[in-house]
Amino acid sequence: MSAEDRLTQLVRDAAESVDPGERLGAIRARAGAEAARKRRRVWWTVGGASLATAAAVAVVAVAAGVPGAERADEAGPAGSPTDIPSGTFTLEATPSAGPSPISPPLALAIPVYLVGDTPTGPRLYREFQSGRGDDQPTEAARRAVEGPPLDPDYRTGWPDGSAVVMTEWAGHQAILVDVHGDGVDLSVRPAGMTAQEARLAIQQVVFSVQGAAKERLPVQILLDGKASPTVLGVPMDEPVDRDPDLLALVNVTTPEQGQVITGSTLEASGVANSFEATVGWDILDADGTTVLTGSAMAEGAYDRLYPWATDIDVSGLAPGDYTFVARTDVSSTEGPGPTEDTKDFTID
Amino acid sequence: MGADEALEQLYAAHWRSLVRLAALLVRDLGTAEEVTQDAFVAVHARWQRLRDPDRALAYLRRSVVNGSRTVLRHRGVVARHMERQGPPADGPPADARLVDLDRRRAVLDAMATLPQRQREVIALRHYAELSEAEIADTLGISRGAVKSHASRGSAALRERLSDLWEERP
Repeated sequence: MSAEDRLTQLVRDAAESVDPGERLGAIRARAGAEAARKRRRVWWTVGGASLATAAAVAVVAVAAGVPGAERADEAGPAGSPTDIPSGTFTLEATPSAGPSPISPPLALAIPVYLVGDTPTGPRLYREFQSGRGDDQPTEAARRAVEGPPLDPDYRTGWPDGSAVVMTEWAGHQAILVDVHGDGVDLSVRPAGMTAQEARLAIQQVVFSVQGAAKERLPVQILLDGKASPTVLGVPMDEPVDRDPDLLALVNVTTPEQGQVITGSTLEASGVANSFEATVGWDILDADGTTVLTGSAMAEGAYDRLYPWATDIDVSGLAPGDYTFVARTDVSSTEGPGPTEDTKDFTID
Repeated sequence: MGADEALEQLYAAHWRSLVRLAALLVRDLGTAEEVTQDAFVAVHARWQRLRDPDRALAYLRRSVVNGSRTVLRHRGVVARHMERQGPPADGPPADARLVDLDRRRAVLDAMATLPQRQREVIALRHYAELSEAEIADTLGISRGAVKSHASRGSAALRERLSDLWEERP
C-alpha cells in the first residue's frame, strides 16, 4: 500500500468513527424560519406603523451600538462566564466544557435561561453558553427556545419545532422576538403543558434576551413576525417584563457542567436567595459519596438573587469525576426543602 | 423539486459525511454539527438559485469549510482541545478496540495540529476524495497551491503518525 493510500485509510477511518447526531428537525425549523423572514418585506408589523418606524430607527441604533445599562442581577458573579465549546468531543464520553486557558472575551458568553426542577416545582436556571456572531439577543433566545442545554438537569419549555427567527429593538420601548413554529401552533398552550410551564417558557425568552441585550426592556414574542394575542396560551398582546419569582433560588455559574479542573482550587460561584444568605455546598465523588462540604455567603438575601463565590481547595481529591452541589439554606425542617443546582466536573 | 424536498434529500445523502468532514476540520463534534447545520439552513435559502443536487453539494461543502474556519478563528477550539488532551498516553493498549480508538484519536489530533489550509486540503482529498481541481474550486485557491498544501500536510501527518504508518488495521 502506498503512503498516500495509507493516509486515506487512516483519515477515513478516523472520520467514520465520528457519530453525528440527528438534526433534521432543527434544520427544518430554522430553514422554515429563514424562509418566513425572507417573505416578509416589512419585518415588524406589530403595533402598526409607528412601531415599525421605531424598529427601523432602532436598526440604525443597533448598528451603531446601543448603549446598554448593565444590570446588577445580569452581571452575576463578575468574570465567571467562560468561553466553552458546545457539544461533545469526538470519541469522548464526557461533555466538552472546559476551562479557558486564556481570559475569554466576555462577549462570547451568552446567558441562556432554561427550566429545571425544584422542590416547589419547575423554575428557571441560567447557564452561560459560548456563542459566535454579534447578535447575542437572538443567539440567547435561540438557545433558550431550541436547546440543547449544557446541563442535563435543564430543559427548554418550548415544543419541538419552535425556532427563533430574530430579535429586534422596537425603539427603546421593547425587544421583539420573532418565533416560528414548524408544524406546531405556538399561539395556544400545547396539550400536556401546564400553565406554569407555559409561563416559564415565555420567561425563558424574556430573561435570556434581556440578559444578552443587557437591557431590561419588556419583551414581546411575535409568531412569524406578527403579534399574537397569546403565545403558548400566555397573554402576549403587549410586551412583558421578567418575573423574578420564577427563578430558582440557587444557581451555579462555576464550575460549569463538564468543566475540567487542572489546579488545586475549584472556583465555585453562582447566585442565590437563601436564608441568612448562606449557600451550602457539597462535592460528591463518582459514587455519590460526599467528599467535601462547606458553605458560602451570598452578598445578600430575601429580595432577589445575590452573587456568591468561594474558592475550594480540591488538592486532596484524586483525579476523576465529581459533582458540585449548591443548595439553599432553609430556616426550618418544615416546608418544601432546599433548592439545588448540580454541576459535574472533572479533576485532571 | 422544491427547497423543502431538496433539503430532505440532501440531508439524507450528505448530513453524516459533511459532519464528519467538519469534525476533521474543527475536531469537536458539537461544533462540527453546528457548522454543518448552518450550511444546510443556508443551502435551503439558496435552493432556487442552485437547483441542482451536485451544485448544492459543492455549496454545502464550501459552507462547511468556510464555517469551520470562521468558528476556529472565533473560538480557538482546536488549540484549546489540544491543550486539554495533553500528551498521548504511553504503554501498550489493553485490547483491540482501544487500539482502534487510540489510532483514530491520534489521527484526529494530528489533523488538528496542521495549519488550517493543509488540514482542509487533506480532509477534502483523503476523506471527501475530491480531485485537485475540485479542491481548488472549493477553497478558492489555485491547483498549484492545493498540490503544495497536500504534500506538506501529508508529510507532516506521516511524521506525526509514524507509529501508525506500517501497521495494518
